[in-house]
Amino acid sequence: MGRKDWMVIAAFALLAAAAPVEAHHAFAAEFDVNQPVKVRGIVTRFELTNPHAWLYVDVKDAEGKVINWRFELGAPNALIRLGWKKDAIPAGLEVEITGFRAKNGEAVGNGRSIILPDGRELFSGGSAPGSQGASKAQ
Amino acid sequence: MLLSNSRLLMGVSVAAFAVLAARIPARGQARTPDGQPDIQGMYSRNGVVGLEANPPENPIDPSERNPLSVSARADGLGPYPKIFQQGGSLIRDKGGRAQRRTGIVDPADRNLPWRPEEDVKRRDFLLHMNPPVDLQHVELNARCALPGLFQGEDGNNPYQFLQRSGEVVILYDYNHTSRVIHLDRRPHLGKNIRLFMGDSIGHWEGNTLVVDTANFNGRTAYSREIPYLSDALHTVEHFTIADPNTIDYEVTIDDPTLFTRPWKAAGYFARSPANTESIEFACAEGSQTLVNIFGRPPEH
Repeated sequence: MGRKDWMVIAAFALLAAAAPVEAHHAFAAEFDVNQPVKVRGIVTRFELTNPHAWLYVDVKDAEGKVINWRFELGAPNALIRLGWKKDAIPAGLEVEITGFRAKNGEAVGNGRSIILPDGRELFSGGSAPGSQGASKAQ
Repeated sequence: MLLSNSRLLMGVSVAAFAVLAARIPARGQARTPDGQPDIQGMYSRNGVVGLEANPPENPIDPSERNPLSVSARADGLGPYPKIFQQGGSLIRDKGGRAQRRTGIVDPADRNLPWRPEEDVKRRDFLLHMNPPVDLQHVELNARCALPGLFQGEDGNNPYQFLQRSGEVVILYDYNHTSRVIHLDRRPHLGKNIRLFMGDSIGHWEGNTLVVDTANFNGRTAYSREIPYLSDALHTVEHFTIADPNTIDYEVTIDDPTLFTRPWKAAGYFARSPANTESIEFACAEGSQTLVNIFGRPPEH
């Protein structure tokens, strides 16, 4: 996925209207909005599967042990309509993800923002509440 | 005898004219080969699911719609950045439809006519959905159940209207659901047959498609605040062509198990851009919801 593609996605992000719509499932039954989480790691896999895409990231903990986190993203049918492709986030890319941790205590989260190596932030809708910067989630 | 025959003839003529008038679409309206007003195409649906007055505290809803949503945060941060849910905005036509009727429209004050004991049960049920005490308390959509009439994920997933001779078919992008609306006025299926999408019988009244649906299975929802409707549910929908790109929608929801009288919701279908296509939606095989909530099943 080239720079142009990212720019297309970013443009869609800014243009898309902030119409309230339903997420596929009950967020709070799985994730805790009071447990914001931010990790930095290497992408190992991106699954563009319904009903939600998932991003897997190897993250080193404080002792240097690598843990594979998985983050739930949006619905593929929505992402595809925004111009996403299956190789949107290639393995090996270092990213910083901000989101909310799963209630099950595992290395699972709901991602709301992904920051790329060059500092660009994905998924930050222009008029979305909280879109001013995912880093403020902490 | 002659007089009575004339009266009979006149009566028949008036009746025939009335029937024909009801069937003839307005001038300029495109028609299908079998004479139906042609509404075929891709649409986004908007506004049908609304919030009642005095909504229950909702322990599962990440929506901004309900101020009592458990996921509402004072700092404005919420789950899911908007961008995740904005694919739908590309299938929406945003032009000039802001004034259409949406949400719960009858009763006007949006106080739904709950049977008090059923309202108590519903509010208690919601409290057991987070964390879900069992599978039955996991939201129906999260279990990849067919969405019924109301839970088609309107924001992200368009609807496609197809018309065959004697039928209107509505294909949901969401969860690959379809509704076949039979226009031949056949009786509803036997009461022992229960369906997620119900059994739909329709007819055209001018430019309005009227659809009577029964045989629901009691396993569909209206909204996150009304997480189930009963198998006594009976709906009457009016799809009215407002202009070539807009279909106004009103549904009467009659569920005598839960409510003391029918109530109504409204919304509209807005024609999507010409290049909008339906995309595969394989829900169950990709969903990790149940694993996240209940853990992984044992390996065999």
